[in-house]
Amino acid sequence: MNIIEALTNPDTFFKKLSQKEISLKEPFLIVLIFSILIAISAYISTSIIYKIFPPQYQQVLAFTKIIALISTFIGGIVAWLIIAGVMHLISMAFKGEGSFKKTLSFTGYGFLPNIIGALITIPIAYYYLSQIHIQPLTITQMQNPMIVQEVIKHIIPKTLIYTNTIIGFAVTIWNLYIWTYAIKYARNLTLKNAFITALIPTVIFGLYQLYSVLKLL
Amino acid sequence: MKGLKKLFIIFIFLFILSQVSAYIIFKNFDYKAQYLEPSKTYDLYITIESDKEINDTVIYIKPTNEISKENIEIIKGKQWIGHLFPYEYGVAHLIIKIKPNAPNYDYKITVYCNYTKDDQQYSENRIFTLPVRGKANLVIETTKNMLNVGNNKILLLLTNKGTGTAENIKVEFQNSNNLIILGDNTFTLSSLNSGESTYIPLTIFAKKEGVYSINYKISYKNPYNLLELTQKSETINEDSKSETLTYQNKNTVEETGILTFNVFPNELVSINIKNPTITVGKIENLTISIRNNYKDSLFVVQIGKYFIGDDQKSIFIKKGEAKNLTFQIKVDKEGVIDIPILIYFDNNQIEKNLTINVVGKADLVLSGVDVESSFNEIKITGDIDNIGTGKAKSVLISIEKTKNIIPKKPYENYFVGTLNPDDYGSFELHCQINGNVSEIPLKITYRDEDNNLITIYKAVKINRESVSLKTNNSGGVNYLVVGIAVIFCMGVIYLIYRGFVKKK
Repeated sequence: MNIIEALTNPDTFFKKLSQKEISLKEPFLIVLIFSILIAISAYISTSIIYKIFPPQYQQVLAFTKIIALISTFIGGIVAWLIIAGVMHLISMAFKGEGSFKKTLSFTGYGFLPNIIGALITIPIAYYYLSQIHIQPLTITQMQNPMIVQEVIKHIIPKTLIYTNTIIGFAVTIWNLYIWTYAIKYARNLTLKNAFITALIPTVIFGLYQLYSVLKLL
Repeated sequence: MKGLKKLFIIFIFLFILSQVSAYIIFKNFDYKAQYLEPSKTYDLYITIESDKEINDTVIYIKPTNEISKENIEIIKGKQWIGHLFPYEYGVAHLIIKIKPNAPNYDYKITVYCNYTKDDQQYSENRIFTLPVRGKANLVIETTKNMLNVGNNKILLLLTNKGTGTAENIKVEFQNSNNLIILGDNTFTLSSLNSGESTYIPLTIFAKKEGVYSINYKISYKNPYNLLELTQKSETINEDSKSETLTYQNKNTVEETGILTFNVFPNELVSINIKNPTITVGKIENLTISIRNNYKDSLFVVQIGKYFIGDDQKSIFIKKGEAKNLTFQIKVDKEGVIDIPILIYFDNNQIEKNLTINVVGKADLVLSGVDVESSFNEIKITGDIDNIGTGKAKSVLISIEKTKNIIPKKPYENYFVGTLNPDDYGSFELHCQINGNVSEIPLKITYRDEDNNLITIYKAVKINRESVSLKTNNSGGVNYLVVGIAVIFCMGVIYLIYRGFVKKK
């Protein structure tokens, strides 16, 4: 199977895939790469952002960074399961037919745009965040969430925020495009019902991502 | 024994000769007064009568003794009479002057009369007395002829400008319409010697501005009779002539006089100090305000102490106007001090002491100022030092709130307390910064030793790099990178669009 076709022509790709035996190996690999990339991205971001903490907390925060790395990695896989589960449930309303394994397998390909997006944003994020000069906050300041939020808002470069927002938007509609055809062939739905089924989790997922970025502005 | 007899015979002979040769009689010696006064010039009339016809008669005078010679000056001492018939009077008019410092004394003068009879020379003389007695002359002068409207305490100078002692002196002042003597208007004194003076204190109430006078009457007594010839009359009968002389005793003198005063408004010149409190040890400007209530005049003001540079300045001030004069002074001791000033104007002089308060002054500076910045919060610590000479009480330092600087509790201000000279106190202030701020304005308030509230402002520069995170980290937008993201986004949209078009 041509993975590129999943990105450029998901209709044909999932039509062909539905005629084959269901396999989670390839989708899992995609989600695994996606999870590794977002974990790396999270590690870079937290490493920079945690510099705002007073020096005496840096050792404690090293452990926190590893937890963040692991949780983000697991979060990527969990997100796959949730999105697949939500779409499977919604498709039931449209009397969809097909196993959850097939839904899980097909939605896994939908994370390919996220890998492309991450490959673009991670180098940019690393470049900008590594150049930030951060003055650690005092303990008193750390106790004020408003100050911490203000600091984070100020230390993240605008270029990075705008770039991530635009790429995130592109990745989200790309996800919607791929997941529409993925659920259509996984649950044997009409294109319209498949779009609605894919739209709801995509919009929720997309809006959450958009909110996460925009709140930094 | 024989020699003694011879000497007696010669004596008898000379006596008889002298008696036989006396052809004139000194009839009168007149100087028109009972006493002669020092420093005065007198006409001396000497009258002689001849028994026989005489020629070449000359009358002249000489002081008899040394004391007379010292105190009597002969101005005209000789007169030619010439020929006299028997029983004819000859009068010589001579002039003498009693020297100014001549003491009271009966001086002696010898009158000589030389003449010829039958071509023989004769000379007669006689000693006369010149009684010199000094005469008092009291004069009242004003020490100050300018009065102000209202009560004025003045001193009049009573001087004996005469040559004799005045006794039982009584001066009586009389009120006029606009000048009223307050209290006793009579002044008495037992005696006043020649050349001596005494003051008469007088309180005069002046009703209004103008030129007014008060009259006075002074009476005193000379210590001896002063008979002065006032009238002389002669009565001639057939063979005789009688003369009547009338004298007046002038030993008690009564005189009147007028004292004239110029009455001005209450204060000719009002003087005020613009800055009555100055700082010790510092060159300060002393500004004197002069208000002219007198008349248009040029005022010359002279300062007596503590001046730096010019001690005298002049200024023309119109009547009713006030003008300022500024001197530079420096006083090195604290406390209330007097600065003497002299003001000259229109032949008047006013002396006055200007009272100023010299105080130490606190001078607060900041030192050891440290600025710690974390993101947008600034912590300022340091010392506030009193490098002045006065005490600063209730010192409070605070951050001035502005649009971009918000003081943060509990360190929005810091109470330092009292700072004595050479004392210091530490402080700590916190604030939050919004936007670009280059310095933090600090306000320091304290009370000086007179409890005046003083406010001074200082500024603490802050390190822009350490606080302006926004500028460093998120200030500029790299449009090239954003452009790549936009192209990516457009590529995705085009991909989806192409997928739908292809499908149709």
